Amino acid sequence: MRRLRDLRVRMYCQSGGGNGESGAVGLRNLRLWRRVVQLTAAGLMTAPGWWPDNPVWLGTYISSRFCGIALTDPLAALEVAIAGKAVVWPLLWSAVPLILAAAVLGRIFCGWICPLNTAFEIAGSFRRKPQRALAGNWQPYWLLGGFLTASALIGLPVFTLISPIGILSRTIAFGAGFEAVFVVFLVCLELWYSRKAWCKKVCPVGALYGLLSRFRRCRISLDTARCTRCGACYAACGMGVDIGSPGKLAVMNCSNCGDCIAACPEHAVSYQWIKRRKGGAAKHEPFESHSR
Amino acid sequence: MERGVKAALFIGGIVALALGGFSGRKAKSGLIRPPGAVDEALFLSTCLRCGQCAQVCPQKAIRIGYGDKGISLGTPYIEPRQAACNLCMDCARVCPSRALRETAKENVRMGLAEINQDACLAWQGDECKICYTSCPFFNRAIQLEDHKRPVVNRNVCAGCGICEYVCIASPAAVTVKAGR
Ligand code: SF4
Ligand code: SF4
Ligand code: SF4
Ligand code: SF4
Repeated sequence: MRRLRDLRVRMYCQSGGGNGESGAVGLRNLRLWRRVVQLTAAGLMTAPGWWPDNPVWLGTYISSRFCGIALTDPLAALEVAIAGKAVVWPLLWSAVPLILAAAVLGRIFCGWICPLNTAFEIAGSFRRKPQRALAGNWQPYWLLGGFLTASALIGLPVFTLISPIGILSRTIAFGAGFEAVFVVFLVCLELWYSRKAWCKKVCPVGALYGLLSRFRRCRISLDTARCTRCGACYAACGMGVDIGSPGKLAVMNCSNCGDCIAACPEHAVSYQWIKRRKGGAAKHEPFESHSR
Repeated sequence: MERGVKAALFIGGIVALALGGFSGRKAKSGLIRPPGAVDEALFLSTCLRCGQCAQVCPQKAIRIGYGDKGISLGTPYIEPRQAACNLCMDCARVCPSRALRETAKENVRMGLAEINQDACLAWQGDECKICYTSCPFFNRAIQLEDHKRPVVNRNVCAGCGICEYVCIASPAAVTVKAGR
């Protein structure tokens, strides 16, 4: 299956496609909008520096106050609770909005907010040649368990301590120390190794969001009747997702970024809102009318 | 075993070993923490490294540790000679993880001021009372011996570092040592 996909991607790339110009009507500018959101999200972290006491933003993408609402990364909150062996209720409550968002909308943190992912994508946009299509696997989910166990054993929030997302966030907010070489190294992987290798093979933050989004409502769906198997969506997807597959990994690794939607020349890919029936069977309802 | 599992165990093991090596001496970072910080070991366990305390500090006294601070990477600390804490407690109020806890000024113990009598102008016979008059616990944390020479009362000093900040000797004759 994977080989077949790589073949499709290769064929597609050789045919010179993948410029992301086409897309479902109304979603053509999805990538532009996403970039605007990503850059705004990264820039927000500098706000307390030039606008003290602003009502909008305080903090970094570990924990923050956004318009007065406390938001904390679920993994950081979990690790700190495990490492400190104490439940701090306000801290756990502050993780709830993000948990709910992931449970309904998926890994939107990864696709739309994460500054590290933004750095990967910007770096990647300078590479014309399509990078190796490294596939996602279960490793981040194992690592998630490993980091939580290590936090319990050592009594330190182990991943939070070394998180390149935290490092990059603090670099944006407070300037760079030598630990920023870790981020630079990961960005270099983006340029010379594979797209989003960190996200696909390591990131436990993304893995936790993936677990949370396993049964989410908003998903990517592929209209197989329209699909010509050109491979444009596979080529566009930085997460190496088997687009349209209902498989666990495909659902959990997808960040709902929408690049595949924008890339499909046949408008066969779309966001779908999944409604659960009483019997448990899922019913798919397209957001976008394909015939428009 | 699956390749991914092996790699995960490998990476996890290295991280655990690296950090396990630190954990024995983790309670002695030597850094002056913002006011209301829980004890150092618990602080390192519960601080999220989010930086909100530093961003909110009106004195810009809180710095965030870079990689050279080792295990304290990302955690807040204060260098009083650069900018001192005035015990406003804004940082403790904003800290989401209760690594910093709002504390009455009198009960804050960030560190302890120490006066180097060889460097202190007053102790050397000059007229200087600047630390004495600047201390927020006026005439209690720093008292004057013979109406002239400052002496720190360790039962009152909160370790805020204002005395170190204002000291006109260079380098400062009064400095705050972390860890009480
Ligand atoms: S997988 Fe991790 S690094 Fe990648 S986008 Fe998600 S949170 Fe960011
Ligand atoms: S499947 Fe589509 S929406 Fe999901 S990560 Fe890949 S490109 Fe983004
Ligand atoms: S606000 Fe609290 S959790 Fe965040 S960096 Fe400061 S002490 Fe740590
Ligand atoms: S003696 Fe110095 S450190 Fe102690 S409370 Fe007074 S000003 Fe602060």
